[in-house]
Amino acid sequence: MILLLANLVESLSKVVGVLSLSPVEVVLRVVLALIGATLLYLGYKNVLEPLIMVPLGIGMVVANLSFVVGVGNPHVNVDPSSFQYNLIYWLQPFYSLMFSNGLIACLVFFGIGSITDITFLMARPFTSFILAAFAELGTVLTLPLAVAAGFEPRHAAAIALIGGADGPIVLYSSLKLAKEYFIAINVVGYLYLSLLYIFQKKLDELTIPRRLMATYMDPRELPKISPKEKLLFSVVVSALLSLLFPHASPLILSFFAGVIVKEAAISRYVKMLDEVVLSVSTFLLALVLGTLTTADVLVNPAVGLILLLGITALFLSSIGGSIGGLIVYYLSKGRINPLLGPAAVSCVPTTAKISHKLAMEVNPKNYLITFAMGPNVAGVITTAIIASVYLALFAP
Amino acid sequence: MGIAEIAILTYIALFAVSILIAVVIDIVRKVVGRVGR
Repeated sequence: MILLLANLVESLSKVVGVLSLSPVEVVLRVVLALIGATLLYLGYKNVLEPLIMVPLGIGMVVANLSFVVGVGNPHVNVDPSSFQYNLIYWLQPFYSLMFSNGLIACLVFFGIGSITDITFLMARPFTSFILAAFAELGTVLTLPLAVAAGFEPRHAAAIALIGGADGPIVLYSSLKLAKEYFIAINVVGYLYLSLLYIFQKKLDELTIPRRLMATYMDPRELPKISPKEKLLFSVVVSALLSLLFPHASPLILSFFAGVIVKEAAISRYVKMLDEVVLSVSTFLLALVLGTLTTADVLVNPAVGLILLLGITALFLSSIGGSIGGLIVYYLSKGRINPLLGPAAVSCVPTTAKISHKLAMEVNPKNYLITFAMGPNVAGVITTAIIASVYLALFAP
Repeated sequence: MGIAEIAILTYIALFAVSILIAVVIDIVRKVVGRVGR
């Protein structure tokens, strides 16, 4: 009878592959599937970013429960070295051809560039860039912290870039600096970026006095910036940044190509980049990342440390932004709203929207979004600069 | 150079480059303004 049962389980495990795994791994897979379902639900409820969390969540649920004996994860293999994998795993072509070379991050950047307004960045370049530099505090300070925690410098650099709060840059850099941890770093990074809506608002309220948040900024005071100026700026700055920081040139090119297409008013391209390229690449990014987030890949003592260091990086960057905002407020003799500081944490456009909402809550006349987009976009550029420096110094 | 020194130097350099880009933007705006006239 026992022999019959054992044979039955053995035969069944060939069909239901999870049964062939150790009990510990089965439990871990069920836990990760439940976490995936929770992320999916929170995305559906708009608590977390639905564009990322819904495909990522369903990817996690399905990938953790589907295990094929002899094949493993039937969706994608984390090792892109063999061409044969492209003929076995259905999502492998996306991973091999879009993730391992960073293309997916560049596609997202095309789309972000095509929907980004650089008016305030050009109208107030000094304010925007100084605030953006302040808001990189976490990206810089987390590097020695992660090394002190035991990570190699290149891994530490990839983790520290979570502080830049820019998903595509975290993805691009971790693929080049920390392939071993890229899944953990990106799942943690995107999770925290989705949570920014909740914790950044609280942090802003704690660090910036409410009476200063009420500082009124009149949009009519902004100088008019013509599309021609924006176009020329995009060409000159992308060329200059690519010259100085060639490691980040793919990101710089894709972002500014999007901006240039928008300012040149090529509506067909703008529509293509925004509605097709950005949507398809974000969906695939989240789905592939979700299917890669399985127990065998993710269960690693380092993941706990990455969770801790990731939140530290974002926390420090937000604090740096607030410090910058307060300094600029006092230097401008109270003319610049300090909420522009935390808006420089470059999660486009989330942090700018948070600052805008807070300013409106305190003073309903204060329409801050136009101003907040300046440091927000400058933050993308400063994060790309730091990524380039880290890639130059630490990439293997 | 230790990792802490690299971090500090990167941060200082970032401020310098940020100011440089802001100056470039200022120049671009002036040049386009002149050409426009």
